Amino acid sequence: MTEAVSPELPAAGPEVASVLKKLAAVAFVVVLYVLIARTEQSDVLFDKIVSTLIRVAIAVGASSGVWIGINLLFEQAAKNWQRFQTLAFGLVGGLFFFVLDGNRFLRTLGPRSSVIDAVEDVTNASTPLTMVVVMAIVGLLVGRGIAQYKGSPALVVPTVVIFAALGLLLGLTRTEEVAGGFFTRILWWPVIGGAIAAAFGFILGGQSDRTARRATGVVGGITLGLLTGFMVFRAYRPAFDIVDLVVPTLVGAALFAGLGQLTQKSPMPSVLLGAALGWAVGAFGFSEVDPRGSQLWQIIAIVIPFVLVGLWASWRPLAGVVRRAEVIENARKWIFLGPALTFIAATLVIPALRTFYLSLLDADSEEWVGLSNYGQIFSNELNEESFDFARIGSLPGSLLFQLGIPLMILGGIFGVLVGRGRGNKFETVGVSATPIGIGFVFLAFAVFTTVRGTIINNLWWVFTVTGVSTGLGLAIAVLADRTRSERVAKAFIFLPMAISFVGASIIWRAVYQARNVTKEQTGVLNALWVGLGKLSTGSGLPTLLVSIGLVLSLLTLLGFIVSSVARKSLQGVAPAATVALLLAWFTYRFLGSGVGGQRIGPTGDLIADPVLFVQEAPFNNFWLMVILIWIQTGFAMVILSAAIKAVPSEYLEAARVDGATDSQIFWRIILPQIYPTIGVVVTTIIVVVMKVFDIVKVITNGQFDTQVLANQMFSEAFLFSDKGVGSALAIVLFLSVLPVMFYNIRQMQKGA
Amino acid sequence: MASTQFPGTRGVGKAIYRVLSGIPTGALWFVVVIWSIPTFGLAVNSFRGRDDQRNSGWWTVFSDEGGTSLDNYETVLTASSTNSILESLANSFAIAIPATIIPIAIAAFAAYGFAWIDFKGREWAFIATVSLLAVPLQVALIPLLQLYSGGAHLTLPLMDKTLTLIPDFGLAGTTTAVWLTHTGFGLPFAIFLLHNYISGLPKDVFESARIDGADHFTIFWRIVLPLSVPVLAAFAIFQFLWTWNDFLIANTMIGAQRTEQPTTIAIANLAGDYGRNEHLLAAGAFVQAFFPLVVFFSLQRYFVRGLLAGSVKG
Repeated sequence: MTEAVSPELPAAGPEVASVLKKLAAVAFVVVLYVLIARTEQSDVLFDKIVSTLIRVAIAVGASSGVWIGINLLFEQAAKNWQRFQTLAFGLVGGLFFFVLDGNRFLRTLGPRSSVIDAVEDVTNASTPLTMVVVMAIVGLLVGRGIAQYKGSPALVVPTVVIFAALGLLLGLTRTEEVAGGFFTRILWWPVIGGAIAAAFGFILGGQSDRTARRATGVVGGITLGLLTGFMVFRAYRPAFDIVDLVVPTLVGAALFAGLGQLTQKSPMPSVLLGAALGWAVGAFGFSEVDPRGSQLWQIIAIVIPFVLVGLWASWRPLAGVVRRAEVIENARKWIFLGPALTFIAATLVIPALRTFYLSLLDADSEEWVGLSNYGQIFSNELNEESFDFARIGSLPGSLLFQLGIPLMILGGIFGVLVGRGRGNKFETVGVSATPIGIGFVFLAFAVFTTVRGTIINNLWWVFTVTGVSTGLGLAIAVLADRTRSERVAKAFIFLPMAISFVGASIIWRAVYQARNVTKEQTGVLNALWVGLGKLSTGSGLPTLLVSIGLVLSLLTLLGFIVSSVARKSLQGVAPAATVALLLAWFTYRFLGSGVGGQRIGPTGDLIADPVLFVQEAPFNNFWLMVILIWIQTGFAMVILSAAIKAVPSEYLEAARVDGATDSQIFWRIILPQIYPTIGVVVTTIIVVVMKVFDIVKVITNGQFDTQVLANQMFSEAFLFSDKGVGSALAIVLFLSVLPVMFYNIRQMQKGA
Repeated sequence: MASTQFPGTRGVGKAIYRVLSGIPTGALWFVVVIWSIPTFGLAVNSFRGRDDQRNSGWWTVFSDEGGTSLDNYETVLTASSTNSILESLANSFAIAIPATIIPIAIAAFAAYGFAWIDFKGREWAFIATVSLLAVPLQVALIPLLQLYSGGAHLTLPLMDKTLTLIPDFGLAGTTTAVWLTHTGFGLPFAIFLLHNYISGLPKDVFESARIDGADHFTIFWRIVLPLSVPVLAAFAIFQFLWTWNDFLIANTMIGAQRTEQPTTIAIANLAGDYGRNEHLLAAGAFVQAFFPLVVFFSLQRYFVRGLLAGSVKG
């Protein structure tokens, strides 16, 4: 079914419609403007809108600019290796100094030194000039790149001018000593460091003599190392310890040599890089911090790894055509996948791992407590219990249980009987499957109403919402299929998908509204319920008419059943009998003791008896589930409807020719065909339901025995500030969807 | 399947058949009415005054002379005394727009990479990425909130030193934190959806472009993006609806910070202390739902297509 989306361009609408749409959009903006201008805080709002637009523009522009820029950079690699090296070295250097400069660790340690003060004064004074020169050089490089890309050399001069102007601006903001200003804080060291690195990249990109290259690498390393040492001069002075230094260096070198061997590169560069990293870790990681330590040793400790990195960068001979192509191809992969993988790692994978780590610590994430947070959850030590089996004893006494067991037995007997007639052990047909299904649902409900707790509630949600939404969605899809009003009807059912869970909760809270018994009910359900009670206990003409109607329809149904049985055409008897049974029960209650929201008060007169849908446990849970069913059914319907339409029509025609009835076609042909799609719908809905939060939060906030995992996690973590238990709950939630995840992966592997 | 045929019946049988065959359409419309009553009721109530709403059901509007007016909407949109829904609308846009545009771009790159750039372990990388679809986002909330409110710091083991990996940008309680989070969470689905489509583009287009000397960037920019407009639109609608309607992430990252709240939090809190403003809830809910509904009705075609492309996979 992968061809469900075939590439196609959007159909161009008639021009009039598009003009009308544009007009409507303009009118809308005008109305919005007037609306905002009229309000009391219009200036605040306009500020907000403008700042939002600017922020969005910066975010979108900067990120796309960076991405396109990097792509263009690698385009340069194919055309002009030297320019590529210059730009790449500059970028990496700039980034390095940006990160280093932003590191609180480096900036806050140690006292201010008078030497550095003096140097900073000098740089401050000369800043505008330096910045202009540096930026002009950068502009020259960029301009030449653009000029070559666009093929017009005239672009170089304007670019240089623009960059130089930018440099002046940067320099001026620097001298103004704007305390903590953006440029001062962020851009000063990166620009200098980047420019120097770019210069060495430029030299290296044009050198092919081995000795000269290595000399360049060493000199470049020393220069950048001195710059770094200068930058962290007052911050960090490591103590000298030969063991701390040598061991990590050797370990790093060996480790990288091994890795290099694995990827079948020449080992020397790997060794150099590993040694540099090991040295840095050893000198700065393991050693003691001492602000009054030796300055000479500080400088040496910093310069050495830079020299090693310089050697690493210059070790291999100037890249030939093959290696260039390799570099470009390798880089493209990361350019295309990098942003997404970075975002996913930063917002999903790493936080999830950290959540697991936090779940093993106490409430303030300070002490290791092992699995005790999980223990709390599963031994009911939280504010709301996870499992509560206290009422399990009342299970045999519940009406649902008493109905469910006989129904399932009855279905089993039918199945065996029908099966015997057809030579099978057991036959799943309407007569056997319907009672078993209904009986199972009753039984499950009976269990869920007696066994309570957060995790049980979640299970109940999953069971009910997934089952009902999928079943109802399928039923509606079948009902609507090929009818004249299909599109309109489906749009109505689908509409709740566009409404937020919060909005849906507000909508349904109004439906469930229950008022004091003495007052008129304003919620639809209670109005109907109390009204029904009034009707069934009343004695006026309406009651009489409804009674006659009930009896008449009951008789019609019975007549239909009898005549069908007499003619031996058993089609439709089972559903008719079900409806007749329900109707008979309803009529009996209506004519007898009365149904609906009325009860006999202590004084003997009738008083209204509304249902507290939201407060009365355990079925308030069910009324909350209805909201999610209301939302999710549309989703199931759309997907299943498309799947039904995708069933090849030859199958259906062939079946019709063979004399199959509609229900046979549905059960024997359509259903097996859409089975995989039902799987997709069910797994999707399970995932949505497992993490249900908004509805419970807005309507009950977990009170009245309606707590679910997601809401409990929110309360524990953010209201009671217990990060340990909150994380543990999140992990439990994650583990509970793991089976679904594995199912999805398996499906995908099959599809791939 | 009540439209069953009764072979060999005449007269009464035919009449019964005609009644029965009408049942599917009747049942369908019955369901439609049931489905629409809650929304319709709230819509009616949003035009009724405070006392009317409190004392009688919305259906009395058809029998009584009870007045309808736009007062509730005016109060909701203009009053600053309670919560400014207008401000929260601006916040919702500040969240939904970047949270829609940025993931589209990022996911398009990745989907192209997974579909048309050959490398070792591509299949596995793709499945691993997309399997994250099912991960409940609760699992990432606590660390993300810590990241936004204090940056990321790594205390190196054995060395007793702390490195700042990401400095504190002061994002806690801002809309930026919300859309950054949405961007990350939306990516697995976006990549899945776009990959389905982009990997189905005809292969010869790419081959001839490569022969003409186009590299990946050019192919992506000049060929793939223009061809992918329908699926990009489908995802945009999804992501817009999702981010606009989100409550959990906004509530976690922004919480009680009133000036930054999006509409979902604003209307959830609209009732105010002791339900003083409860009569405004209906109007507030419809103001909140206005943009999603407009998007939904005008672009339903794309929305449904996106839904299908995202789920209908064997």
